[in-house]
Amino acid sequence: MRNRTVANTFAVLTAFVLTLGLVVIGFGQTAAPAAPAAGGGQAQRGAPAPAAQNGATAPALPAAPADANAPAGGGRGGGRGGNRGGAAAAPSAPTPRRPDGKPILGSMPGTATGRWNGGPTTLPPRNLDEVPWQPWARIVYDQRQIDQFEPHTRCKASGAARQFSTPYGTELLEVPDLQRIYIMDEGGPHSYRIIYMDGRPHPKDLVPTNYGHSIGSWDGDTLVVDTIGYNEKFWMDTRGTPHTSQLHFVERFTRTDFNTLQYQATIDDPGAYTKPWTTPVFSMRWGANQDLFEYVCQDNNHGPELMLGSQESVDRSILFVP
Amino acid sequence: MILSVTVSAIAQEGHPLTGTWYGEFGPNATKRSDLTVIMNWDGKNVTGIVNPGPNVVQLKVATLDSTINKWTVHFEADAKNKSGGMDHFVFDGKMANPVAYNRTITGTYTCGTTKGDFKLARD
Repeated sequence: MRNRTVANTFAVLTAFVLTLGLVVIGFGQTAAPAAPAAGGGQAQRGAPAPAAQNGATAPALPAAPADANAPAGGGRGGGRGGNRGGAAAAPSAPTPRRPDGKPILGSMPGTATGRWNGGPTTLPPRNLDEVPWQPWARIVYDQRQIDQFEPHTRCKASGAARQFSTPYGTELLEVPDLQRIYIMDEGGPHSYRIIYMDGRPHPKDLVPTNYGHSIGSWDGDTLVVDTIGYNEKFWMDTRGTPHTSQLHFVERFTRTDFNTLQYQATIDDPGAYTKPWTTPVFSMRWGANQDLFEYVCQDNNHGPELMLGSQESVDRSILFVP
Repeated sequence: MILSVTVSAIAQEGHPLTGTWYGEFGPNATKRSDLTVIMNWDGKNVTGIVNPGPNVVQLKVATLDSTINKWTVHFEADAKNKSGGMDHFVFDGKMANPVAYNRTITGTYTCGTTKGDFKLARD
């Protein structure tokens, strides 16, 4: 009897604590969007009046594609970063635009900067069998789920989608005068990629590099970035989806509102896959008033031990985060 | 076989065989020779060379059984011997740390009646 009373009391207290927790979480979710919205307000005060808001001839927003992260709310499709970027469904200011109607993918001119958080951590869909793997590529992918000897954690610049999967966000810096967009990544190598927007083609006989050679163009409101010239010194996502130097990587960036940047990629790599395939759509989330900061990947980085030691020597109880 | 030219690795995280492999081989612990093998995966086959330089030898066959936890490697090459004839080398090994930067291949080889062992490490 006494035990039952104690159990009942415990149940009531548990319910109370859970209810309190939900209220706190709910409050947090309500409060959180305020900051980005404020950022949008500042942006609109400081920037030229966007054409779309003036009712000018700005192209209409395309229908938002299905978001690989949002419905799942924690599935592997979004991974660590993806869900962080796509889970919140808060009201947002509209997509900021230039006077010519093109979306602004980075910070608004004359205002505090921001960065995108929550890139995709894994490119394949949930059902891995949907990926047209070559046999060796699937085996390597499976093995990497066990071994995780990732170059990025050894401060190696990592191209393709891996550039967006850093813990401290990514900045898209548009320089219209130069007809270039720079993608600055924070964690890991603290490096950058150039997207040439001046209509130039890819050079012939490219020397393979970690970031490859990127050229961009607009498809309506979507920035399409076409990249070739990769080497094989990096993983193209956190999970180790394999690629070869034959990789042709096409990314589509769509800022669907002020706080959301949708991202999708098509992988054409006859060295690793039997045919081209397209990833789910991932969402990155705008972090207003967040700047990139100095980041020295090598400091206190114990990751090199993973490169030099044997598999058996790796202490798997330690989680390495770049 | 003599290592005569330094080459740079151009691949590290793609197909596990792709890249430059340095090591040695020989019939016993005291009689060893340098061995450099450069392999490349073209999407369908592994191609490559042995000991780049004036005495370069084309790989005739190179295969990888990438069944998980198996990772066996087989490659063959024909090389000129000192008397001007051709020796046929057959290498069979097992890859360790297949998805790691510092993977290795160790195994045995035959050349006619000669048998020995080899070890290669990825550059």
